[in-house]
Amino acid sequence: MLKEIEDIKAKYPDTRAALLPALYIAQKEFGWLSLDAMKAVANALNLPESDVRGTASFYSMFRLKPAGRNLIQLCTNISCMILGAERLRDLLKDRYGLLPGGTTEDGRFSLVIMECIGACGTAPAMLVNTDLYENLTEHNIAEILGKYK
Amino acid sequence: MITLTINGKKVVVPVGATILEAALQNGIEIPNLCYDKRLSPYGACRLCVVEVEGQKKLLAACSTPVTEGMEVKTETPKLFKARQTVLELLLVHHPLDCPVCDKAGECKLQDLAFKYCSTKSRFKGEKKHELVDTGSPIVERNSNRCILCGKCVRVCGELQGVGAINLLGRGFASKISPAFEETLDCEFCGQCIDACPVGALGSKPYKYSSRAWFLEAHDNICPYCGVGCTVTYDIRDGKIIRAKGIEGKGINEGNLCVKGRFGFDFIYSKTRLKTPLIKEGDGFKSASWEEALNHIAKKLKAIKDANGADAIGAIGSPRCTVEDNFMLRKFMKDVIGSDNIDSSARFGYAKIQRAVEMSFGLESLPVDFNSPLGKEAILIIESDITSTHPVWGLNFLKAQRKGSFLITADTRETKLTRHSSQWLRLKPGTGTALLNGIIKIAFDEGLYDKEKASRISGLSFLSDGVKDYTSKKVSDITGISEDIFINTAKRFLKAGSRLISLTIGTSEDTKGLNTALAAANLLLLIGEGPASLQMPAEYCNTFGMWHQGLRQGRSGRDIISMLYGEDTVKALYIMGENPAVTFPDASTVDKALRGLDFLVVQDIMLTETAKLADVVLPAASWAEKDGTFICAEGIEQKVQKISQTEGEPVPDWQILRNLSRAMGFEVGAKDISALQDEINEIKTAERTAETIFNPVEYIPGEVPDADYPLTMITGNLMQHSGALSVMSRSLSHVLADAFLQISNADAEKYNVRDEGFVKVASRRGSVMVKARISDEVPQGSVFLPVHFPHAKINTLTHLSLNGEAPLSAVKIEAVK
Amino acid sequence: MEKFLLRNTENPNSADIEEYIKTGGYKNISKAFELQPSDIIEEVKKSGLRGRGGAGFPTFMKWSFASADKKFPKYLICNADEGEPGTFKDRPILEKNPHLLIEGMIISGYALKAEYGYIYLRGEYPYAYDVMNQAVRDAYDKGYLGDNILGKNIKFNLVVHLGAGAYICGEETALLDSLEGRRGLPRNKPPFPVNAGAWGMPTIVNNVETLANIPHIIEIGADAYSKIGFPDCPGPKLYCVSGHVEKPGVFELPMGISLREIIYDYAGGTKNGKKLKAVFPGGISAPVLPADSIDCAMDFVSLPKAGSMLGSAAVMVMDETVCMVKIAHRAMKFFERESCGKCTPCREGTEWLRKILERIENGRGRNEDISLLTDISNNIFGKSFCALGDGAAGVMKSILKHFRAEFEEHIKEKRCRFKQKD
Repeated sequence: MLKEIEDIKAKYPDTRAALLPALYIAQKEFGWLSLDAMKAVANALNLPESDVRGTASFYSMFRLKPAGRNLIQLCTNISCMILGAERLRDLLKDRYGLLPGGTTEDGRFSLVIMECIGACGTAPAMLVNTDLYENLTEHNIAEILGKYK
Repeated sequence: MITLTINGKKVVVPVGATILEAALQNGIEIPNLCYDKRLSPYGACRLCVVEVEGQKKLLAACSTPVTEGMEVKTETPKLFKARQTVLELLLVHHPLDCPVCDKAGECKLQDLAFKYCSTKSRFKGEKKHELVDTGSPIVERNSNRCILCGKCVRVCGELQGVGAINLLGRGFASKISPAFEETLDCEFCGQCIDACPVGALGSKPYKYSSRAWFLEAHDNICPYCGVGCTVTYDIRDGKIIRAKGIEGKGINEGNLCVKGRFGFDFIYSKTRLKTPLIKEGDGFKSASWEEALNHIAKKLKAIKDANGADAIGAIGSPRCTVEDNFMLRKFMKDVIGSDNIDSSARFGYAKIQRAVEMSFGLESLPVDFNSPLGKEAILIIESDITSTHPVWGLNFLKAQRKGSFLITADTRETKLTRHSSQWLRLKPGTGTALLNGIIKIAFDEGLYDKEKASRISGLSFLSDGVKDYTSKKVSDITGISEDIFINTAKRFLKAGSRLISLTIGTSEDTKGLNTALAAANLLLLIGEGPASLQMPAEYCNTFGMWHQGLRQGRSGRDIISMLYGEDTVKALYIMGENPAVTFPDASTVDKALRGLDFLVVQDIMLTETAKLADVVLPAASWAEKDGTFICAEGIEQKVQKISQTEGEPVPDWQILRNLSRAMGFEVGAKDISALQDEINEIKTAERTAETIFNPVEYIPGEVPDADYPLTMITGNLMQHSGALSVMSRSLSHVLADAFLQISNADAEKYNVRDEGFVKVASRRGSVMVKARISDEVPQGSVFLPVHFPHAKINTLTHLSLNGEAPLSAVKIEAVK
Repeated sequence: MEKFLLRNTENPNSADIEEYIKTGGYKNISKAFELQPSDIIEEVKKSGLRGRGGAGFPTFMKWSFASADKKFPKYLICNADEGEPGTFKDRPILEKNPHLLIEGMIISGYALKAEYGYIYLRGEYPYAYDVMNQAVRDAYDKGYLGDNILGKNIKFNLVVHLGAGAYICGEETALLDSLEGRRGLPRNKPPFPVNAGAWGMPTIVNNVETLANIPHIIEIGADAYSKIGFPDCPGPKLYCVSGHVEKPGVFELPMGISLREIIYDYAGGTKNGKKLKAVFPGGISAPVLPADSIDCAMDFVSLPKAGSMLGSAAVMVMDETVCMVKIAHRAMKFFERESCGKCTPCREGTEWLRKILERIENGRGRNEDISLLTDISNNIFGKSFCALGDGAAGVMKSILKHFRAEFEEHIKEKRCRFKQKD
């Protein structure tokens, strides 16, 4: 991880600029941005810890608490909403007990409600981890999630 | 200059000023909550919005630069409404717990709400209910009252270079907190408290001690370091209960460090002396002033009669006023007839003075706290200026932020090294070798001012003197890699404007006379003048004391001869100094003090030295008397009596005048102004000697060996700098005792646990302290602050007499 | 119209560098390198190109300000933080035509004497991130990027930088703070990025689509380019249509085509032929237009006259089944969540707007709520630090203006009639 962060530093005129990439690396390594992960990043970039945490907590894609094995990022912004995203959100709650910001008991899924993932033309849409799924319906969503264990 | 109109009034302001600055400079108030003169414009609170002719939008005055002919209106119905809404929104979640808030009465939000808001709120929202952080020693955070103006975050990060707190989260959910919402743990400068417009950040010692409207504010000069900050003290019932900086005021422009802000309370210590004490058996008995002074007079006369005046010596104090020190000198010369006068400056500032005289032929250096600003390259030699002169240190951080290339050569990781453009982690005490190496590169590469340098005598001696300091050798001595050394040296030499700064304090052991001389050599060689060498005096009146003449007289003895020689003096008069703790080689000092026939100590407390005295006299503290401090810049500043005294302490100069009278001498000084007139009549002649190169060798201090394998570094802490700070209750809450800072590698090697006790020994003695494991020190070195009376770290130290840094080699042993 | 921005994108291998070169890609670099940098800026000026990010600022102006600044290095930043809800126009370029963007950046970098480029890509586009990174690697391998491009001793280095989910970072100064590794808070202007942007240096921030237009200007010349579409802001434009339409998608059309044509001729009309109710013509920050206002031209000049703005040209279509209180509520939830929190009106104001809308939508609205919504909106609008607050207030005001009756009905009936009965 530290090696990877060192390499990233070279891409910018200033080490601080490597903070977002370094947080992504740490998130991948630790699964989420734990206290230790953020301290390691602060150390690697010689930044105050408050800068690291302050920055990490500003961005919605950094996870500041442990997440499930698979992260569902469901868009509910206007185009998705008017085409049924809220029903999908309710379905995730009813079928998987999954609440926005929460994780299933078995640790299989975490759910984050997104503000537009740029798939409005194929709404409703979601990302599962880094895979994009479009034109979701109450029927195909179950099938899609079935692929993730 | 730019001319614009504000509310119909024509004003002229400098180019680049903002509308808010233009207004403030012309006495026009524009409401604001997030503006701070010291910080870059933020523009967040949106209260300072103004109307500008021709602009559809309202503009934030704090972040809009003025333009020629601009027409600004600061009070219109539209603006009133906009400000009202902002305040109304801020008040929705604000707890409105003004009855129990220390800020009430001086709260900006309260004042603005009073001016703009109606009594009815159109929104009813839930109040925040975060836990109040009461855990930290002196700063309390109540984020429920926070209005997210971000001033504390910016003061802490941008100005102080710390970044202990930050905004966490985003948008409405943002809050200000330490990184992981833990209890605040920082350097506790308290700058955030002054910056906070509401009661979200407060001083714990001050909490619930008064309503703001009962306070009476008095400005005075800080009693700590040589910066000479103006502090505004809030007084109630004759007692100082709070200290604060006022934006723009004093040399410090409103900035204060932890000592200045919280350290004043040493004068209310329970251990303050209340009456004179005369030794009786193993203890002391209280005595009247008359009795004590007569006793001293009789004893001193007897010693003078028996052994001559030369058997009597005196030690003055850089913490006492010009008047106090003047009177001590006068007493010694006129009443006793001895020139044996000196002070602790002998271990520190005297070396700076010696170097300045030898190199520049000057009486004193033109020290200027703004000197770092705008310099292209700055080199700091083994000095933690952010600890020794904290508010001055801020200007080095500022210079770096504004583009100066800041090179810090230091063994320890400090705030300066963290903010440096280049940190040279050299071995302790090797600064002289580093400087000599840079001089050699300047010669070799022709990177010096040939014309100017050739006019200074000793150029060829200098070039001869540094010829052995090849980059290879410098790298070997300092431990800095050759590449980095050469590149950094060239970067410094090639810069358009350059500055070197270092401090030599009583408690610092990594520099000596040679370090200062080498720095002067380098600067003279590259064509820079004395103003580019910044070596400030240490304490609040070190400069005043020294230049007013409290130092070894022509026929007298210095402190080294008086205390460390074979033939010490018989009687010693000590004013405001604690040699038993703060002087190097404490065992020798202790022996000398115990060997005296007669010892008088006048001080504010019963110090370790006072305990050895025959007579102890209670002196008034700096806040209990009128007088003068001269700060490191050479500026005279008056101190005033602002606090009532318990007991019978008397100003030092008055004690000495009264003693003179008791000895049958009329020395004048009927009051402070008569004394000041007398001082003003004495003019010290500016010496005009030649500018000279003084080639110096790098002489190692005590070299670590198999028996004593570690190098000990001593120095200041941000919270403690000497005798006063350790008496402060608030500062002791942050840090109450000495410690040994040791690297992880050495801790493992010597089986040292964090917070475990360690025995530290040098060739002169040993002490016991707690260990703190931190890689702020590298393997092979340990750091110890010397100020704490219990630890007596000076048992380990020694004197340096050959210009070298007085470093000591030590060994450590973990205590099971 | 012949496609340029989306040329060849129906080809499944369009992102491949060989494929791109085969269809004429990268030839505009050589053409540009024969011109002086100042000539290219002049061409861009003559072309009339306006920034495609939202504000429609003439591109050459940014360019000439940055060129006039004597400080070096200069940075060219591509704003690929396509966060405006309803917008997905840059995605096909990033995912299917990445080399067009790279080519545009190389030419722009040459024109601006900027030797370092960064593509600030939103974190929500992981696929585009992979595609862009691959494309950058391939361009380096082929010698289109690096210290000596095409052996001409021209230098341009390019890094793809991934954002992490913050709408505000689409604002160019917040983007710069974010790129520098900070919380993405908008900065004060002045200084403008063209003088003191990334790392304090002159910086040009251009949208993906803007930069992707540059090769076209070089290819056909400024004169021909300026004749495409609406004369005041010419060129091809990507319109993205979503919501209640039959055929949503991204359409490359000449700038200035009418909203009605876009909805009915290209996007297939409303879904299932339901009655059109309202349209966001330029993303969630553009004031809503009612159904009877769709005959206006979709460009930077005409839409403001119609009471809205082109923004990111993200057309979100809503039919009669939609509750406008709910739309306002959802929009405000978005703004509240995405407000950076720096300035008071936006941070506190969006929260209150959302709370009031929530109670109206849930049948707990009060009579004074409509005037309260109006008053808060008026006091956010023009008073917040950046355009985010203005966007929130503008949308709120437009919905209130055109659909006031729906709000009154909610308050009076104490319910929302659009809600499905469970």
